[in-house]
Amino acid sequence: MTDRTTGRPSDNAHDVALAGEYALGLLEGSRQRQAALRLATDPEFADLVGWWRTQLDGLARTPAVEAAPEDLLLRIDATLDARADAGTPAEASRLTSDRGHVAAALAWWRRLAAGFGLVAAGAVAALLVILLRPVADDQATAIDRFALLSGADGQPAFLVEAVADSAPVVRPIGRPVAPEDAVFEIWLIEPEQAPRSLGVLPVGAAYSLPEEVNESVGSTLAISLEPPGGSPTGAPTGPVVSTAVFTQP
Amino acid sequence: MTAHETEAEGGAPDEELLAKLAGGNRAALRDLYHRHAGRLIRLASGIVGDRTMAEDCVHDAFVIVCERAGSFEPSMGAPRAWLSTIVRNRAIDAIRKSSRRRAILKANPVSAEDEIDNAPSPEERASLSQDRTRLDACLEELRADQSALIVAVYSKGLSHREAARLTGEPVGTIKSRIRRGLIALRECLS
Repeated sequence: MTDRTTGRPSDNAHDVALAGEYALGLLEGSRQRQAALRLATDPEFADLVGWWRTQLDGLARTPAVEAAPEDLLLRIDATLDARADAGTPAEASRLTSDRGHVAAALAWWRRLAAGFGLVAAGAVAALLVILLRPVADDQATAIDRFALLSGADGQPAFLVEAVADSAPVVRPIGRPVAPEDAVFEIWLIEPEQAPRSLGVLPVGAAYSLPEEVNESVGSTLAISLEPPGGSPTGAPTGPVVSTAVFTQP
Repeated sequence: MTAHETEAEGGAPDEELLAKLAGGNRAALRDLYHRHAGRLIRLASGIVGDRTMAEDCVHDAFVIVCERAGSFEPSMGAPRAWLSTIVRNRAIDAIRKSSRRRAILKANPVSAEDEIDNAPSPEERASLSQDRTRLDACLEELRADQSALIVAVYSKGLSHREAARLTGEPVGTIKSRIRRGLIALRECLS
């Protein structure tokens, strides 16, 4: 797509428009995911996005720009100092280099997939879609904490994900189905404590967990099969079909 | 520009500053900041409509830049475009999470006339870079509704749906207008 002899991206109208829309942050949903994946895997498309970014940056070249405030620079310095003191790693999963972002998502997926061994192709595809959903630096914020839980058939069935300080959300992968007359109930198991119910998972829909679950990174999330309506005792009564540590990528 | 030395005036190129920044050189951060922060705050302000929020976006963006300077690649665009992209995306992220969005857009409706009115004066234009004036010239060659949309989407961080709501036109119309505008803009700039 790029004419390497002139260094100028070629003129495939579809790609020109797609790259421009990507650079403008206009893409959403599957188109955004596909473009982000191309950005990570197609250097010529990446060149075209870079070209658009450089061109459109002309719109940010304003005359008579005011001086930047010194107190803001001090605040940036202070944040960097604090992060260095705390040994905080780079916000690799949150920040905005899209190619690094996609690569991080893919690497994370590979780790997960390796942990699961053989994963059904459909589940892999669904998982990939989920993981790539927030990849772009245009609209995206990546996952900061997660757990991948299987369903009754042992295949990946639920992704628990949390972004920044927002409440973790349980997202079904595909359409996990509980056996007849049973529901999936999710539990938080913290060290030295009894399992705490976080609720019955709805069929085919996302489900928000309490925000305080964010404070339980390193604890275990579990899925059990319970009678309709959930455990009658407040503790798991049916088989535990999956456990996973709520962790950071 | 600020009183600080600009790249055009002989300061170190942005690429060199990013390389130094990747090595932890805080002086490079200060140079980059003084060179770009003013326009970046203005860019973010155009999207979030609030100076404090805009400064927060620029703060976050420079922290990101410090942590990601080593991963910068020329194919991502020029360094200044990379900075703009990060700031713009932080601003869009921030404003889309904020209830202020609708009010801001309501107070700043999009129209071709607005965008054209906001174009630099001839005196201002003279102080702008050649790239900017070339971009302006090409935008003026586009249909007014196409160029206004592209400029508004960039400067206000609009989504297709937001642009459609503001203009009262179907989303499909907005999408095809922007696409056609981008293709025409590409032809002109090339």
